[in-house]
Amino acid sequence: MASKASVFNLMGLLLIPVGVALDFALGGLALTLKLPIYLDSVGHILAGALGGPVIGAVSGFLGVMTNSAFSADAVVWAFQGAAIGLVVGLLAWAGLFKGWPKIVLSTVIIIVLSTALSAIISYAVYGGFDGYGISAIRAALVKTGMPLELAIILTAFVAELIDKTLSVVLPIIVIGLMSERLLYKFPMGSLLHNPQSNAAPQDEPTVVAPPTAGYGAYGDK
Amino acid sequence: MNAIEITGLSFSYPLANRPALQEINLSVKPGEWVSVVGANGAGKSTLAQVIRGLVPHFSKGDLSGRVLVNGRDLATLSVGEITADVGYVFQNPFTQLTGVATTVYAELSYGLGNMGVPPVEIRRRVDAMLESTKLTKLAARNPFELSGGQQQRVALAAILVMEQPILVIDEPTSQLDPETTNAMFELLAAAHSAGRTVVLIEHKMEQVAQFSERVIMLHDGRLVLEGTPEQVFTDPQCESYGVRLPESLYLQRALEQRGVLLPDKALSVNNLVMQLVKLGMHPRTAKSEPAQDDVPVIHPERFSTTQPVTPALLEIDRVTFSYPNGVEAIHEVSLNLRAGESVAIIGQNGAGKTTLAKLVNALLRPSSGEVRINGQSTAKWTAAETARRVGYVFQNPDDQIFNKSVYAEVEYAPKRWGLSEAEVRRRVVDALHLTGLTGSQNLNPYDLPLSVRKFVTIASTIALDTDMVIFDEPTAGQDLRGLNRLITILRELAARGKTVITITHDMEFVSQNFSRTVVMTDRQIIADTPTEETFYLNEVLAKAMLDQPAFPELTRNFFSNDIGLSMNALASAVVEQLGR
Amino acid sequence: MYEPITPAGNAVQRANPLVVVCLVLCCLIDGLFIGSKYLLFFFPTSVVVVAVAGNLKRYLALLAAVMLPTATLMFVLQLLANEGGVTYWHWWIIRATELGFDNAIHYTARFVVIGTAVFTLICLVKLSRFTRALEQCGVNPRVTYVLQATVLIIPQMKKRVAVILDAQRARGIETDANLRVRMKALLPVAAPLILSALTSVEERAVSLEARGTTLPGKRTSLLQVNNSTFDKVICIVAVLICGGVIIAVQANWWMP
Repeated sequence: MASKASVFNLMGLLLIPVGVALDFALGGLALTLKLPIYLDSVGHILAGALGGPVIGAVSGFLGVMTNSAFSADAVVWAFQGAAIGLVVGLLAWAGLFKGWPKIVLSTVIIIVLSTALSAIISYAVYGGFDGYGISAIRAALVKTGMPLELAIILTAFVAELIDKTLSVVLPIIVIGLMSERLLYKFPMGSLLHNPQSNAAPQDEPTVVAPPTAGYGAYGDK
Repeated sequence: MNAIEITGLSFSYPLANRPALQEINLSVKPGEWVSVVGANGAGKSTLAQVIRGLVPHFSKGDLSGRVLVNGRDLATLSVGEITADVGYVFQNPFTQLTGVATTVYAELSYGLGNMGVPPVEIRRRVDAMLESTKLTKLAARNPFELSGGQQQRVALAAILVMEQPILVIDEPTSQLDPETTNAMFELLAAAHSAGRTVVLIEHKMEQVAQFSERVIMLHDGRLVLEGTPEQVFTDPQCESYGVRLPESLYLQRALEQRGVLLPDKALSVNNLVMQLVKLGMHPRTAKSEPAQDDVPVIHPERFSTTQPVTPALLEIDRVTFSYPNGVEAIHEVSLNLRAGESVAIIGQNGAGKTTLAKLVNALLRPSSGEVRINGQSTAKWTAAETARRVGYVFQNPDDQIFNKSVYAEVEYAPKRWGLSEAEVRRRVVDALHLTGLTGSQNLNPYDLPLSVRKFVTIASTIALDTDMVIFDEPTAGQDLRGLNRLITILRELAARGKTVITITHDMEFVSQNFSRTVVMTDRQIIADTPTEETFYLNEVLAKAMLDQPAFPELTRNFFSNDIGLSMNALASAVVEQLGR
Repeated sequence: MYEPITPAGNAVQRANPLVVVCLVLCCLIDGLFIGSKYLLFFFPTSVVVVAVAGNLKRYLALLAAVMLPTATLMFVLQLLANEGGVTYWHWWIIRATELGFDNAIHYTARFVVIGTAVFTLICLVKLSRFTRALEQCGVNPRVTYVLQATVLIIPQMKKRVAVILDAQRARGIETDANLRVRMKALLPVAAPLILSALTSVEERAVSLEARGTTLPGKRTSLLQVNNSTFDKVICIVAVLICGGVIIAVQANWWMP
């Protein structure tokens, strides 16, 4: 019998395609609403938070890599996606998404990690100019005399700051809106449980007076 | 050996303080058709999932008692192993598609591949199944591009092809139009004739009465009634458990109240007709069919003779709409509604009903023609601005719901609109009361069944207090209490002077609750008449491929359409004819 | 009938997808070590192979639409941002120098090598055959399910965004107007999308159970991918050559 902890648990595994699809869908939403952010990490961050480090890593890798249809070298950036997914899963597993102080700490960790990876990958593979729009800003900064390394880190930080903050906060908010029963069905569910429920859950509504003049009456006609 | 043997079954979901099933005992013989009925939340789906082993393996929770399927104790089997014995189909067509098949053919082969069936045999079975489910024409299509009804047929076919001896089917037709519903029942009947055991959960009591060998009723997790369809539906307690009767029984009851007594309980309209003939009624012959009106039949004015003339609230003026890819969805449609009118729009899927509705609330813009509300064209308003005048309850409540509690959900939009706190509160409390959700206001909407979540979106829309409200398929999947609740809501909205448009497949509901009906087919309105005439327009019904409600189905056997939808008229005409 | 068991066509079209992936990956890894001149071999070769497979149009379309703009931007930035050596051209404070040119060639070539490899794979390998090949090698069918579902579910999810946008607009939630309004529309659209996606996870998991995805035992399929010793030999030889080239370049025995 499939045990809940098994990494091949269907509920966890299915988070991967859903996470990737949400990456695309929400990235598209940001474009539709003409928002100045990417928002294409929400899916695999959610997958990591609910599914754990392995699910998060795979979802992150595939999420960025399937973007290859739109970005030739997405496979390189897929490693950043995988790392983010992995770390989110670890943070969830360590209970660091319970309560806003911990959530802030986790967000900071993710922003720092994301910035570092973005800078490192860009520098190591492309010498800092990787074909994304911010590279132009980097070039301009270097022209003004700033050392290349600093320019890379600075621009990466600014880009990741808003994007990753939203990409972490949005899933956390939605997890808070979820019903507990649904949350518990996911591998990390019990570790994310944030008791802000209003009343003790009752299952059935108290009986309300049944509506008047019923169905099938064929009344006074 | 019984196909299914359940003894002393009790089950509670995790985090629940009430058991979902209590002390259920059930035996199902091989090849038997057992239908499970009951109010929503009574435990029907839970029982279905127990038989398939999804409860408790998937859902967790505490299960006691014994469940034997084909003689094997489910507690000793893994969920996967039960696949060989039990097929499972449920309500939502979209999530029943695997998501890895690019063609319907591949979709049907998937399960067989998992079972290790040799490729030659896979081909044989899939080809045969495509033939018998009439899906051959769709075999190369992407399942995700099909309509909901087609997807549901594919989902059923994909299970039938696995040839499990026991089929557990949970509300397969709730989201489907009448034509596809009949097709689904035909498929199940064929499977049953081939010797399979069928356990079916449904709200469509006419078909349940027609096809089941045995009916069991659940209430609050307990098995309260069991027997043949006749035994169960004629039991006086049936409706008190929240279960609707087959419509013919309501007709019979109404006739009895007016002095027409029949010897047997009629579980179908045909049976009702037979009994009346036996009593001495003369059935009409085909030759005496009255001349048909030419299609389209448009005379809503006849309805309005009893109402004072008020200016039109909504004017749809020769509107045509085509999608960006050039496909035309609506062709030269005109429709006028006065304030306070309540109209039903019926027609098959693809006729253009939802498109028309979305043109009213400006989610779509006419390609030609104009939509006017209170004399003003909607062309200049955004969809969100139009929403202040036209409320729209979408077919799928999960397209809108996201708040943590029912109260928060209903409160969300009025709050966004900037109304005062006191006003928001007043509206929310009123909307919750009207939809019967006051007791559930602190629950998370996703902890409620889908049919109740529908009322959450209805409440959200009522709280916006718009002059016009559009309901898109509100009756789908509703039990008796839900239908009664909808009737109350429609009456209350009428009393408040709201204009209501209801799109629905439920002909019974239409014939009993709306005085004006619009029929759409193939992108156009082909009839706009008082409801008492609509179901006698043979040409119209044939073109739109609509079912008939039980009342006209009965009366056409004996009378012309002067009877309309009046039970008094029918009863007196019957008494008169029998008296002679 | 609707999916041929083995596709008709030439050797490239019938090739085992795992072999194709192996070869392309080996070429890619070598390319990262060898440097810009590698493109002179790799690019024409991949164009020819893709053409033989019959997918040239798609390949060129991808190159033009996706690779060309980014590569051009990268080239220009590299050219202008790095200064050193002979100045080829200047305008105001912008200088195109020898160092910039070398860097531009080096890094852009690397980008093009990666892109070429990716697009070649996209145009040569059919996902369903790739996953079937994996399954035949013994990979857990749940893993292959995840790979295939990932690609096929994306368009469905995008359709849901449009539906939910409309549904929330119908409640009066503005999605046009200024930035603040549009930002406020984010949660009411993202949240139902995510929530319904998560409930669909559960329902789809149930559907997969119903179709026997967790049945123990070997999976059969209408798809069969030929797996001969020849294929295995090719893979081993490719890996050996790849490794050999890397060593040769790193040890400076060969300097292309």
